[in-house]
Amino acid sequence: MTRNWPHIRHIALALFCAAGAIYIVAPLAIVVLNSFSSTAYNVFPPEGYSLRWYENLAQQGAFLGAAVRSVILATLATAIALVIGTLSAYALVKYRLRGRDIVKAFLMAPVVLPSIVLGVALFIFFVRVGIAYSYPGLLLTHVLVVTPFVIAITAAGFSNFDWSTEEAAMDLGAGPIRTFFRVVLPQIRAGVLTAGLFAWITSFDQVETTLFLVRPGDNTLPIEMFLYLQKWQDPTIAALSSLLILLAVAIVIVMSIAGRNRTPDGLVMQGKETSK
Amino acid sequence: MRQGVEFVSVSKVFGGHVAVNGINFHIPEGSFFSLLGPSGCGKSTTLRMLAGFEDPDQGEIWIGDQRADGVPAYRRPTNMVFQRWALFPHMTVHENVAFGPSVRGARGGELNRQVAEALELVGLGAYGARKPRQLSGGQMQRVALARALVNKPKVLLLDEPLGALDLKLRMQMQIELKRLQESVGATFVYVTHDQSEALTMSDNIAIMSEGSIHQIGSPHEVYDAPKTRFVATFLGNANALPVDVESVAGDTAAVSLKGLRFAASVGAAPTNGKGDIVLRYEAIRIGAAAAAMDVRTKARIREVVFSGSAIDYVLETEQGIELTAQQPHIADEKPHERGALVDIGWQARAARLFPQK
Amino acid sequence: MSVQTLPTDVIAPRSRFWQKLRPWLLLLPAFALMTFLFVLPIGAFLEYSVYSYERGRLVEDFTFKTYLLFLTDPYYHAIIFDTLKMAAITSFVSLIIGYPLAYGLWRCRWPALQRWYGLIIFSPILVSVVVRSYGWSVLLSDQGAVNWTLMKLGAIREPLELVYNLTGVVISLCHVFLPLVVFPIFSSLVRIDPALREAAMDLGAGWWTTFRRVIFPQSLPGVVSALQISFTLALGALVTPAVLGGGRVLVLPLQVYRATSDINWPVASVGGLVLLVMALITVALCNRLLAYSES
Repeated sequence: MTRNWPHIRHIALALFCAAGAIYIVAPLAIVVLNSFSSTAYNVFPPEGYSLRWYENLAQQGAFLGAAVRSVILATLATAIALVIGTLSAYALVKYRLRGRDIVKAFLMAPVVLPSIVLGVALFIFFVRVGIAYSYPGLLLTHVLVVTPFVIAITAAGFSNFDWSTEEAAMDLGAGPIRTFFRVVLPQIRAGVLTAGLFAWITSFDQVETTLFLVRPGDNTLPIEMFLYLQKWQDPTIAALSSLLILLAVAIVIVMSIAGRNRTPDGLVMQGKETSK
Repeated sequence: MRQGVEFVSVSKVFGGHVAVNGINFHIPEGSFFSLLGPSGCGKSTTLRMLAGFEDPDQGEIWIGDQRADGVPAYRRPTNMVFQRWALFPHMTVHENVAFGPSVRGARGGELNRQVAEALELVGLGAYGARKPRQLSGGQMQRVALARALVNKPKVLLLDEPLGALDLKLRMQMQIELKRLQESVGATFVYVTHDQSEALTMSDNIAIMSEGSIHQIGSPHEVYDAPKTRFVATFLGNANALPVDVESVAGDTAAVSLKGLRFAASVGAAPTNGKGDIVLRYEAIRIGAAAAAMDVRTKARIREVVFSGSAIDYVLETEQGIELTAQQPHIADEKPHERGALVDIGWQARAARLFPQK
Repeated sequence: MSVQTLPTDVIAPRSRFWQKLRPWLLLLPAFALMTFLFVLPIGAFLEYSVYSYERGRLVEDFTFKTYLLFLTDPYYHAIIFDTLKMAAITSFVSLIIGYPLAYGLWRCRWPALQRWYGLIIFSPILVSVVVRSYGWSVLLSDQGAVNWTLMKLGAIREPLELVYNLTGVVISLCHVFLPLVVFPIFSSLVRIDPALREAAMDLGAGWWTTFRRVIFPQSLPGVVSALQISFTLALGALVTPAVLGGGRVLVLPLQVYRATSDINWPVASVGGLVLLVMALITVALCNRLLAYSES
């Protein structure tokens, strides 16, 4: 039986989803809009438009320094986490270890813990051990936060992996290490890249875990912004936020081009599902 | 000076389950050897132990005059063709075949020459630039063969390689594999559950069941002179008749079933006066041909089943014994009809006696 | 033809021990990381939880005073209650909003639209929670776009108080959690065999019956997963309540933050342990629910 008009519930759902999209985009859109406002106070609609906040931003060296610090930290943490996480995921997926579920739950534990708890615990521990405010401590903290996601996403990337290709490589004379680099890694490349991207963003956006671990004056970008927001609410922060949103949009565009023949199911962050 | 492949009292246990139970066999160098048996009989495990993917829990494995168990797979002079081919999806056909030689240090022109030679051998010379996903099943099969053979292994292992191909292709590949083996000269060890493959290609077959080898021999030997009930019933189609054993004298026995008394050859002698007779469908003759047989009786035809190249007759003898007989279907010859009473007969040695299950 | 030969140096059988050890060796870096940066710090937490904070100074003597404080002081009771309340409301609202969105994403008939919509839902994750909370503080303020729209439509005469209170926090947190809630539900919906839906319809069930008796039960594992994620994240939320709570939404993470800044580490430790226990209970309960829903 065909209908000429879509059923009422289809229309209702479509409207709801459209409203949902607006809900999702609204705060980001308003931030971008606000960054061009000519007034220091927030008002809708803006009374005038100007670029003064971007100029103001350019003069705030603190933000630039924080941004650079965040980028370097995220990149280093991601690199380390990718190595640790991929090896762990490989070990977990390939071998039928006794107690594999317990091991997996143990490695996923940092995800279950509220970030502030982890941050404070690490801070107290570092003070105790005498390495408070150290860069290695901060770096390793980010590695700790990010590695569970790398493990989960990479492990999921093994789901379609043909293990007989590994045996074939060894049968043809390649030892375990050469097999891993020439046969295993190229096949799970997509999962590793996804994990890396997700890890990088997660590290870049960390706030609660990092609050007490940065040397005062050497803040990462989100913390610099967070502290700024506790004092002032002028649109300078909107200008900075707009740039970050632009970065996010760029990443989305790159991802959509790269994943053109994949359904959203392929984009699902399986990492989130394994916090059980 | 040892030659070929030898397994000495090899056992393998997985969890509590004995997959391979103290098997012994020798494969002459340069022969085509099959491991034949149903799923779970241990044939794949045996092959994998030879390849180096599993280590035996007990026993020794010899390849030539060198001990192989304990040596990792990447150091053995064996190469394997996997069941689902295991081609590297991210590499081209050329790169797949080149993998083995490149690991051993071949480069440039020499490497390309070896690859080209191997691809020519399997008839895929022009396919070097393709990726596995662009190939058909049969073509992938051949790339897997080329990839293994390019390394000139002492022993080529094949793990049910033709299972995923359709019937016609399978039969074609069987002929090609046999031809390849003869021209390359390596020892081929072939694992399958399909008896026609084993029977058509092998120089020797080992029939396995539940971790043990029941019999090793040439195709004719295992088919015509099975040594265990399992071998007799696994190969071909056969009737299994429970009989009373009246006497056993060396290779022959006298048995009776529902009043029909006849002679049979002994596959394995029963000890308690009861046994099973295994009688192949095609061993029973019907009509005029029955007159020349050792054992003769009459039977009524209950069912006629036509399967193309043969006709099966489900019979009930005068004594009430149910049998199935198979005759080749010759066009122009009229098959016997349902309900007809016919003469049937078989040679005494075609009936093999074994202990009851 | 040249044939490979076995290396003569490798005659002894390879030790089974090394074979068994290999996976654990691969896991060693992860274990080391976890031990030094997770297990030990939690230990430090435990240690400081049995110290006390007197007259503005840390007293490192063994005592259960701080635990008692948490258990008896109504101030802390209120904080714990508020935290749970906020987490519950937020989880509930985000599930109510998230389920239809996941359903719509699943039933979308145009693959291009489905992909784009998925990206839209997913994209806020790429933006820092600080930016998102800031955006909501602007959007929901008295002169912000929401109030302006509602007043223009004539729905209200005075601006609604949407910021610096629990409402604003819930709205903003739901926004943060939405992608994390939609995707588990979407995953479990996608896993439903389409033949089941067709079978139900073939047996005469209308849309609502099919949904109620076939689709929804099958999507429950995803719902439970989403519930666990949103609840545990809400328990630990700090930035959003700080930016949008205006000092009125005193959740436990904020308390822990303040205590740490004041070097009142015993309170911070006990508070942190309470949060940890609440999170673990949530995970355990959700695992139970998950097992129940999958049967």
